[in-house]
Parts: sequence; structure tokens; C-alpha cells
Amino acid sequence: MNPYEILGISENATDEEVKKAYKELVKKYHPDKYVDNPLSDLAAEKIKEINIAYDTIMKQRKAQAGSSSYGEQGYNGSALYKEILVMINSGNLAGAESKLQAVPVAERSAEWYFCYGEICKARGWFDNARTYYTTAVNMDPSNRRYRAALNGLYNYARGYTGGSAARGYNDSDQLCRVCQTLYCLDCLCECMGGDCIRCC
Amino acid sequence: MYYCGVCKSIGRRYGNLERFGLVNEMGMLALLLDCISNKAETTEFEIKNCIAHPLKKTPAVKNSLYTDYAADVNVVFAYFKLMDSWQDDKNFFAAVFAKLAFGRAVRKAKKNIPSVYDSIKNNLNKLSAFEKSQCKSIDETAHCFSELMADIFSEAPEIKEHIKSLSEVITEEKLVCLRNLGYYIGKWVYLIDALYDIEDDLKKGSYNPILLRFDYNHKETVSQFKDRIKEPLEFVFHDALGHCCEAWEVLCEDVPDTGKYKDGKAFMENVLYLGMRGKTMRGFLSNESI
Repeated sequence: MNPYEILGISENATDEEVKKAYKELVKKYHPDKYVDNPLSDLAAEKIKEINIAYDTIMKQRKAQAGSSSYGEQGYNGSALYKEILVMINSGNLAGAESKLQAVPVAERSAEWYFCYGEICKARGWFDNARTYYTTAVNMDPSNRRYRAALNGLYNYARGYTGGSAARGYNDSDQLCRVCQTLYCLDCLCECMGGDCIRCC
Repeated sequence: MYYCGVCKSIGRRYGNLERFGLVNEMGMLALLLDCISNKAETTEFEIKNCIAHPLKKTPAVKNSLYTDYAADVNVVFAYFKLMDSWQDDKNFFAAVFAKLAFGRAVRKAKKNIPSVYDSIKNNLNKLSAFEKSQCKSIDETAHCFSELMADIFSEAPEIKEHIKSLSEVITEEKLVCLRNLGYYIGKWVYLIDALYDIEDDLKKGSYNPILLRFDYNHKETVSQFKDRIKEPLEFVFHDALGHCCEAWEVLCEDVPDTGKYKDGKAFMENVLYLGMRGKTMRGFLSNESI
């Protein structure tokens, strides 16, 4: 059976839409909902089908993307750094690192620092990555790629503070400020002969 | 309550002396794993007397899979911590206590969680090597502790099995997230400890990665130093927390929004988004102003 039909979506659906449909179905047939229910076998069967459908679609799409998009992207660095970047992208961080370290200190260009930053970033070492990217930017301030990489580092931190603010976190104790404002207001009122908070 | 559960589990399975090594984080670990494990049965509580406060009755989680797991992890941790203080400060009492109280317990824990035991041992060794060589990179030093936490998370019983019942692609994605969640929680914990220890480490002259990374200069006061490092260091904390939250969202995206799950999810979100951020912010205030 067509995996797209199982998930109830069209073949033109984006990856996001596929995932969304998958998740909804998994929730719908979640085994917890069918405990002590005669339909539990059926639900388990259905989950299996959904899993296979999702895997098939995702694997197909990955294979297609891999074969079509690997072209030249106007990279203008030397062949060595290009090779290193390909290694980093494919997850061979140790190999990329040893190649970089083989470059003599005197020959380390802005691109060298950028590549090292990429390795650190892939490892989740964002403090180190920032140091390397910053060096790259300082050595070649006109390079947009370096600037973009440095800015991109802040995405996680920004996403986090945004998410936390949306859930009610705030730095400047606003409750405190409300009290302060009320107190000031009361003092002012009293100066003018009125009183807005009786007890003080 | 999870903390009490872990404590009881140590007492029951190892002995009372070993209970002294219990740290707060282990209660949290048990709770968190329980949330992720996404099991249908609800957690049971019991009201029991507390060994540290004999007159108080407290609710404790009845022995669950994860209080036991956290208990095992804690015994191993406590043992290595004692051995470490023997090696560093030649604290003779610590060594004797470690051998006497934890010798048998640690062998038992090693049997229960062999791979986690190895990971804790290796990573703590690496960490103390970094400390001896006065490593200046906070990422590299924290990496040892983060890896260790990542192993604790990804080796936790039954979580893997639960995740494996999903689609292959999703399974792969989720297993990565489970490791990442452990990794970045470990990173945050290691660095927050270092941040809160700045005053103590300065007095004792002990290793502190933050002091080295930002070249503490003996002319400045601690609060001047903290003000100076706030911007660059806050970024590292928030980045780690950002990764935690991302991994967390992926891990629980197929968990239904009902009943037990809802409370666990809401609680964890609260901790990740509010509690941990607040703790980070307070770390930048110097002790005098708290």
C-alpha cells in the first residue's frame, strides 16, 4: 500500500507535514489508550503500519536529496578546506581535526579558524566555537559566511530565552516594580492631601 | 519525594551508611527519567519515617525502576567522590570511609549497571586529568562530565525499549535526543557548580575552569569578575539549556497530553525553562548581594 495513503497525506506534502501526520496517528493509536480493550491488537498492528510508512517516506526523501543536491555551491576556499568541510558535514570530526592541526601555525588563515569553529560547533562546544569564529571574522571582516556562522551560534540561546520568557520568566522582577509603583503613588497622593492606600 | 524514594532505595538495597552519600540531583534524575519513560502505570507513594528527621513523616516514591537506578548511580558517584578527595587532599578519613562503607556497595552497583560504572570511572579520571593540567577551555572540561551524564541517560533501563517501539527514523532521532538531553544537562550542572564555587575555589586556590577561561585577575573583586564574564558566560549556559529544551521537546512530542503525563511534562518544562534559568541568573550575583 502507498505509504502516503497510510499517513493520509499527499505526495507533495513537506517533510514537516509528513512528520505532523505521523505524530497525530501515533497519538491516536497509542497503546495506552487501548489497555484492556479488544481493539488493542488492531491498534498495535496499525502502529506498525504507520511506522513502516513513515520510515519508507523519510528514507526515500533522504536518498533523493542526497543524489541531487550535492553540487558546487560557489565555494571559493582552497581544496584542502573544502575537503575538511565535507568531512565535518559527514560527521568525521576527528579526521577533520587532525587535518587542520597538520597545517603549520604560520599558514593558518581565516578559513582555518572558521573550519575549527565548525568542528567545535558540531561537538556542542559553543564557547570554543565562538572564539574561533570571532578570530575568523576579525581576520577577514568582509566575509559574510563567517559573520553568519558567528550569529547563528546564538540561535539556541535566543530560542531558549524566548521560550522561557513566553512561559513567564522575567529578569526584572515585575512584581517588585508593581509594589514600588503603588508605594510611590500612595506617597504622591498623600503629598496632595489624598490617600490611595489607607493603611500607610 | 523522589529524593526520599532514592534514599529509601539505597537504604533497602545497600545499607544505611551508604545513605550519607546521597545528593539532591539524584532525586531529580529519578523524576526526569520517570517522566521520559512514558509508562502507563502511575507512580505510587508511601508515607514513611525519615532517617535524617526521625520525627517527621514524609511521602516517598515507592521503589520504582528509576529510584533504584538513581540509587545505583549515586552509590558509584559517592564512592568516586570520596576516592577523589583522598587523592587530592590526602583526606585519610575519606579513604577509610570509602573503603569501609562503599567497598561492598560499589561492587554491587557495578554489577547492576556495569557500563554506567565504567563511564563514570573513565570520565571522572579524564576530568581530573584536565583539572591537573589546568585546562582553560570550559567546553573541554565540561565535556567529560557531560559525556558521563549522556551515558547515564542513554543507559537508563526501559527508556530505550520504549523508544524502539516507534518508527526507525524517529527512534534514531530520539536516541540522539536522549543522549543530548543528558549531555547538555551535564554541561549545565558542571558549569553551574563551577560558577557557584568561584568564591570557595579562590580562597582555596583550587581549580576552577571559569576562573581560568576568563583570566581572573587578582586585582578585581569577585563581583567585578562576575559582571565582566556575565555576557559571554550566560551565552554558554543559555545555549546548553536551549539544547536541553530542544531535546526534551522531541522526546515527549508523542506523549499524550493527559493525566500523569501532563503533570510530569508541565513540571519538567517549568524546571527547564524557569528554574534552571533562575538558578543561572542567581549564579551571577555575588554572594554578598544574595
